[in-house]
Amino acid sequence: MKTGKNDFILIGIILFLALGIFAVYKLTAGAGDGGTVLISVDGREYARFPLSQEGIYLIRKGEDIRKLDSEDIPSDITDKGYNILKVSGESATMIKAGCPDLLCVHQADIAHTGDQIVCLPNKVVVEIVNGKTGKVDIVTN
Amino acid sequence: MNKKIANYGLLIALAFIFSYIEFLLPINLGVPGVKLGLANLVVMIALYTMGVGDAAAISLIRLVLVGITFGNFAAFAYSLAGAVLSLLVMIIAKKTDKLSTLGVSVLGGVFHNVGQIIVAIIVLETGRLVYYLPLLIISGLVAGILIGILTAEIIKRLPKERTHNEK
Repeated sequence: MKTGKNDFILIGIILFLALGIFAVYKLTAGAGDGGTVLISVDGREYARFPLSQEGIYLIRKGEDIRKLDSEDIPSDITDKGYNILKVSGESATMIKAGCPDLLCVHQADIAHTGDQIVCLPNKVVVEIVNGKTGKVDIVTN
Repeated sequence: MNKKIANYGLLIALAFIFSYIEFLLPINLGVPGVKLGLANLVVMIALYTMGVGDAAAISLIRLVLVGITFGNFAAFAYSLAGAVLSLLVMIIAKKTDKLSTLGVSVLGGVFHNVGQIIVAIIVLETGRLVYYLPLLIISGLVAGILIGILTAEIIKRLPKERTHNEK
């Protein structure tokens, strides 16, 4: 049997499948990896909880993280030292902040291990860390 | 019969040496499992010049030899899954008579990697390895094309009486 049309059709199908799996994986990868949100202010760890713990959180230096019922800024806050973080199961994003530049609010949602939102004026760092260490240390080939 | 034994010895030794060469000179592209699979060249030749049973026997004997010599149990399990799946697919592909050595070899290369990934997913209990699948499919495809071309060229040059099985 000589190399012919069938062989090239097969190669085409395989290429298409590989790209298809890649595309599907990329599209669904946004689902995140069930990481943990780590909130620290001025280098100190304030809270650590899984992304699945949905809610709106108020971050203030020197205070415990407060869970809010709405996206509104609580009335007892009069200064600029606050950040409001929204955790929505698969990602986290800063929705409001008292800092003047609001760079943290403009930063993209974070979902994957290593992603960070930083607010320099308030010294707030929100980071995704992988809560669970994998069962596997090393894989040989 | 004697001729068959001699053929077996020759091809198994060749496959063994090919595996050794790949063991000595690994191609490191950052993704584990990417390799040319030179030993599959021997399996292809056996499949086309001897027969299905002979190709399977040579492939499995090579596997055990390589596993004992260079590998560990994990490597052996991966190789076995890859080799068995790849061999089955190649046998079926050849039976259909719709593909040349190129197509058969491509399917063999791709399914070798697919088999390994399936075992890895079962062993490591993580579906996230599917991420590697496209890369390994492409690498299997490229390896399969190269091996397929080589097989066709070798079969062309083999003495006619050795290629009775070729269609």
